[in-house]
Amino acid sequence: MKKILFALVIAVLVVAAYGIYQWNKPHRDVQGEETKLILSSDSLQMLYGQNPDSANKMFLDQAVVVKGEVQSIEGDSTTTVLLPGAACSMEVDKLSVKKGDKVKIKGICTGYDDLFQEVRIDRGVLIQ
Amino acid sequence: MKQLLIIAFTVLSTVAYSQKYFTRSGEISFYSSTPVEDIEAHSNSASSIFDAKTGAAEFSVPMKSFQFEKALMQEHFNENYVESDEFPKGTFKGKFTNIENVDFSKKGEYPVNVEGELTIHGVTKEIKTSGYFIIDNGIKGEAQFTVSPSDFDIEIPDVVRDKIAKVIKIKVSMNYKEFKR
Repeated sequence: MKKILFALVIAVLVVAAYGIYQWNKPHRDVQGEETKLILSSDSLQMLYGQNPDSANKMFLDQAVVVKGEVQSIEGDSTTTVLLPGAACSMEVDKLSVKKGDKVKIKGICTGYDDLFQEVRIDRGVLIQ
Repeated sequence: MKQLLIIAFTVLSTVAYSQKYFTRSGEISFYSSTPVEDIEAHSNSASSIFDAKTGAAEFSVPMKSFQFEKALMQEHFNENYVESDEFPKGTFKGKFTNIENVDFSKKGEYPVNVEGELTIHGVTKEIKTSGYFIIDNGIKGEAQFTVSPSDFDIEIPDVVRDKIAKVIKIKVSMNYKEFKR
């Protein structure tokens, strides 16, 4: 009887601990993720232009590194760096880059924006 | 010379008339409120273009760009509810039906009506709502409306039915810039 009770208490504790862990689990650490998806912003746009479905299978929600020359920097609530064919919403607002700089940005690919015909990158951080 | 001037004027007035405004960093937030739990999520990555002459407007937001306070909620939202792997964006195509009431060159707050097609989770619904253009140092568009997950074929399982509102409030706030080609 005691043994059963003991096992039951343990089981409840394990379930509770798992629940608490799940509830408080940390957000994704994009910058800490390894990625092999490293490519120029315009080739990423080209892949999306050719076949959005297969591009989504490969890139959507993945950590990616896009390379390109800064076309412009837009900002109000979030700083957005425009590379050829890709718009990157940046994690921090103050950036030491300007138009014409060649940069690498690591972030999550969130898909293709038909309005501007460009790929969207979120939570971007300049690397190197 | 005169002819040149006339041509120049015609070109200039056409440009001024097909004035377009855009943003790539619009804010869209949604709020679910029940006695058990309040849930909210925000995106700063909404894009939008509208034509100040015709009122035609388009919006697009990557579903994966919505940030929740809890990682678990974000996961459930993406995997179980909006299924963002299959339906990566939410879009709206429509128009401001009384755009002529807005004087984009004069400071002020102008009420506007919006109607069009909202697509979420691969399901398209007609919606009508109202909002404001706030012309100050910039051009800000704001609107609020509500949607029901069930209208967009989003099934809420019984276990969490008390925690997710039947009607979700959506807030849209866009700082527009002039679109120069």
